[in-house]
Amino acid sequence: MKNPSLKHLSNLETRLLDQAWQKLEGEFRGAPMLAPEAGFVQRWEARRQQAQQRQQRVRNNWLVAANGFAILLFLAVVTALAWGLLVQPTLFTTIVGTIMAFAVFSLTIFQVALSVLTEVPFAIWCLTFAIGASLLSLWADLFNQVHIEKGVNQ
Amino acid sequence: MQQDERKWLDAARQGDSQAFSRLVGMYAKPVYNLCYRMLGNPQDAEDAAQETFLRAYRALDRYDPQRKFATWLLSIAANYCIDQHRRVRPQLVSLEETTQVELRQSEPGPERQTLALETHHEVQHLLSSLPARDRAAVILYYWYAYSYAEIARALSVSESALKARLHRARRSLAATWRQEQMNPLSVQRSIYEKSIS
Repeated sequence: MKNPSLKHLSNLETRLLDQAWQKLEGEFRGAPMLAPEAGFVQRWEARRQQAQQRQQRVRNNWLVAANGFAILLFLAVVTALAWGLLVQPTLFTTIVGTIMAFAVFSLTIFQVALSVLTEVPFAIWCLTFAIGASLLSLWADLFNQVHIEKGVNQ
Repeated sequence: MQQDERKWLDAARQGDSQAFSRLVGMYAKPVYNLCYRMLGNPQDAEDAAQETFLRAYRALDRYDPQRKFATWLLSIAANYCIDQHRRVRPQLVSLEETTQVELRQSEPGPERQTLALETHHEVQHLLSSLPARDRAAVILYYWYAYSYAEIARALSVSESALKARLHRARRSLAATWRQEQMNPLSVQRSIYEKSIS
């Protein structure tokens, strides 16, 4: 059991804190709503424009970097091919042969997939599609909810 | 007013930045007040309020129209200020800075002005003794008269957790105030130590 004097002290402290809070609560409720200095909206518009310009600059820089990389990659491939053809003239026919082999391989895969499609009954396809679509919509809904919560709490 | 807000919101969501500027004008005061009460000085409050509107502007397509726009905006402001507390060490502010803010809007007459100023400093000083999350709860409860449900949603906590937080904050404020009445210097020192730790 709790010591009676400790209990008394605890009650006393609670009462004193309650009294103090009653006094303070008035001050909190009466405290005014502070306003920013005049011209807040203009300053915000300037800030938004600056932020947009900065974002645009970053986007442009990324675009330039990505294009530069693509051009460099293209040049590297062309140089490598040209150099290979100079060193070994039969390389061209080898490359064409590889591409043709890949095309034949892709065609075989496509034919197999088509035969599987025709083998399985249409009703089974419909059922599978319905299950897949419901799972996807459920996932999209959950994702959307989490996304909205994140946006608010950022 | 409500209709104007809806109209401007719809236009802003279509990409009309002028409409959003009108919303900025409409909510500048409540957002600035929250930031000021959270951060304690006019410069940081102005910066936080501007950043809040910028974040809201960018996230406008994710705003749920079922929800009150003001609550959504204030939740962004509160969370931003809480983050600022985590990142930046609170600074001590000169009395002159806050005095300028307060004098702009205090009541007429030098005596009432002085009294209002003292109350302002006391309230702000007591608020600064609270942890950031408790402070946000107290500010939203006392300055904005929002329901528990609205505040809980804005701060992403349950209603029971919010009530517990408010109870703890009130007790802490009352205890600090009582201590200060008895020994002002020791409390100010402990608040200062808390703010720099």
